[in-house]
Amino acid sequence: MTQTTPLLEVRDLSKAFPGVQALDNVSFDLNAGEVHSLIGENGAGKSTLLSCINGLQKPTSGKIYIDGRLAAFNSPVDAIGQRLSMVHQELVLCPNLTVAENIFLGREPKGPGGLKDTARLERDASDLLAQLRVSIDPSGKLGLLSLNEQQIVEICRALAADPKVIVLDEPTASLNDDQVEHLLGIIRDLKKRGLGIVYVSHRLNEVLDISDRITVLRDGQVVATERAEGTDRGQLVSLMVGRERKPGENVYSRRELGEIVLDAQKIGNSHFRDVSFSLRKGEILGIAGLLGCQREAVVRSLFGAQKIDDGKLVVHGKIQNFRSPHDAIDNGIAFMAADRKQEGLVLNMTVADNISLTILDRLTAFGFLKRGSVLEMTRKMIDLLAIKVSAVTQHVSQLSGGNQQKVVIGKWIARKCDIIIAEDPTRGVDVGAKYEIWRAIQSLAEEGRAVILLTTELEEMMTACDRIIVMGRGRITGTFRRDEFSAETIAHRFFV
Amino acid sequence: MTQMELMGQKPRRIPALLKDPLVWLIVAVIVVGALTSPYFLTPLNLANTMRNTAAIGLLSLGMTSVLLTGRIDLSVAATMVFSVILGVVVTVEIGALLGERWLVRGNQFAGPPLLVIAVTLATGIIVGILNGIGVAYLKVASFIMTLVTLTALRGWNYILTNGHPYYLRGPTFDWIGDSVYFGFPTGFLIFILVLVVLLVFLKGTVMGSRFYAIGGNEVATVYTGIKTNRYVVLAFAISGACSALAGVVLTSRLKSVDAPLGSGYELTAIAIAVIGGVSLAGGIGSPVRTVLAAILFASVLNLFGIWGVSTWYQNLTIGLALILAVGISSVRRRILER
Repeated sequence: MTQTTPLLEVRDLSKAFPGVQALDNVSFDLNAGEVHSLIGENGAGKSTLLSCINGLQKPTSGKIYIDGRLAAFNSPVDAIGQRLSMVHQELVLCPNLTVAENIFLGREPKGPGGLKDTARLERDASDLLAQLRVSIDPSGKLGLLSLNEQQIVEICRALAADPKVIVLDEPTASLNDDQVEHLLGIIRDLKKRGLGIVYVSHRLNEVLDISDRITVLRDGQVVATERAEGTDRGQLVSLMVGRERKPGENVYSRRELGEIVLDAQKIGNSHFRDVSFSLRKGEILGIAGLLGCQREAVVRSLFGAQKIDDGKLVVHGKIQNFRSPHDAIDNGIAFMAADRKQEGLVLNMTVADNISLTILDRLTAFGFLKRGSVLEMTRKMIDLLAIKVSAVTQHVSQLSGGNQQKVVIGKWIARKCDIIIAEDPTRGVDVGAKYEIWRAIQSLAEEGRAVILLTTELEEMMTACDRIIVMGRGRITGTFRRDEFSAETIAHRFFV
Repeated sequence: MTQMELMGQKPRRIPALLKDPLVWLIVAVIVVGALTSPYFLTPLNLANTMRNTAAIGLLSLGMTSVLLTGRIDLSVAATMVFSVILGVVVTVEIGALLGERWLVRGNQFAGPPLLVIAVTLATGIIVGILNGIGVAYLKVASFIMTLVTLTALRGWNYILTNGHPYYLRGPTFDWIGDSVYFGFPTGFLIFILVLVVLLVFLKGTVMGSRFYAIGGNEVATVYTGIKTNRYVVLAFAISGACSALAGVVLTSRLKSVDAPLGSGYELTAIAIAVIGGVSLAGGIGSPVRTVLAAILFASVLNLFGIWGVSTWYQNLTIGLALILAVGISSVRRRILER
């Protein structure tokens, strides 16, 4: 291992999006024959950093050096040209083509007159596959391979460009333990061949196992770069979550919990399995987990947007099998989607129209809308949630993010549902509005509704919830009562 | 089809063809035709069926190349007629400039047919390129872009012809439209030639395989540094060229061209491509099977004609066949994805 010039060096990289500093003076380097891991919570800036390294996004400031030379990537193609290949988290392959065609897509060997040289293509592909010691038929269709094999094809494709640096973004997210072991073996081989590897994963055991060095990101900043030897999970987790609490967000008040309104008994489908929990009247239940833990799938199945294949779902004492969100709404379940613009609001309609959308049947007489009732109800809701609008007929698209979210909440309060699933209700809203949204959710619980809460920020969840369930890879890995809350112990369960 | 394609068809192409349900359906139609009508197997009827196959089949081949990239071309029939009309009109204008005497008034046309055909083909290709630029570079949804082209060209057809037909006479048109070699009409042979060229291009060349890559996963293709937009334009240009050629074959047979000719053929072309196993989502399909589907389609319509089934029912059949084919292909895709 040489310690002269690093293969890849990122110096003081910053990237600002409107309202957010995604990366703040991040520096990072990678030597030949080294595995350097990047870890951090959701939203810590890992993806942005990778996009900048790979040329998908342009950094606001800072420089990237490859082999000591300044590199300016405008696209992934430039990066490949500079011998930096990326293996994407979600597979970007063509399922209808063969394995060999996928590996060499964009740099196929050409015969005379631009004819395909399939024989050579498949020979070259077998060579690459053999280097990784896997037996995959290069002439088979990619779509017929397992996810694990597709992941290996994706790595072969990165290798086909003869790179010096390979960036692996969550390559094991969808693999089981044996497959992970196989993949890690491949990575060790690549390392022996002198390649530099940037490894991103949520699975700390893997990271500790494979890495030479580990860099921890939090809120867009490098918190620490540690040698893998001599560090342990506990240290990494506390670096990732940090310790300081944000002031002024404590809106929690103790409530009396009522009877069980929703009881999931070992429910499962293709995304998750054996998920059991119950929810009481007036309770706020958080489901925590990292990207890929499938908590989104669980709540969508409660709302009837996904099928439940195994287990029993009991709502209000009756076994239910919702076939559509319509069934779930009829049983008093509401869903506030994270993506409020896509799934929650009709942006070019007015505030009043949006709030009344879910209860139109109660505001009509002989099929005609009772305008007066709509406006009256909207005004009540605006007062209750302190929504800042110029008029009830203002278009929702003109409101700020926080106020839009309040309209979504108001919509479901008006609906008088008693089980509310809130997915990331504070995404993209400013601090002041966050406080009011937490206040509004708290008041929903005080009125005796049950709330299931999903947020990306664990700290926020800990201030708001009565109980937190932790999920990892499609199953429940821990349950915590409020008096047991601690960011570190909860975060530990992410990686089980 | 997917079964076969997935197993890799190189070593046993002929047996694979025999396993194709389309081949058996064609055989079934021929048997039923032979049993129910003394006219079905006459050389004249077979030649006519092949001529009908040629025109609609050329449109379907163009459609196939566009569908493979995950787009759609609704303007094929309008382009087909427009190209021929523009070919005639331009030839008339040029002839007048050269001071030659042209028999065009009274809607009789007798210009140099090769010039007409050259202008027709160029027009088809240009219309295709314009569609492609709109779809690839201006990012207009292909459905909208080509629907607009369809409407505009249909209108332009009436303006250029003033609502009257042009009659195409002359030995060249007679040769394309009427002559028969060993039982095969010239138009059909042109069609088969186009099939061979397209087959070599799509299945044999690196460029052609990009069509499949784009249809399979466009993001993945862009990430590898392939300039996908150029290939999309090329796909539409191929479709335009096929449309123009279909126009030449069809109007040579009819010996005339007028504005409303071939309305609704775009849907027939889509139906044939989909029956032939081309995926509307892109990335899957073979020009050979499109041609088989075109033969099947034309044979069934021919049989209906012999039986005296009215065109209303024929159109109904086209619609039902399309719904069935699209339904089956989407169900099959969902099964495959599981």
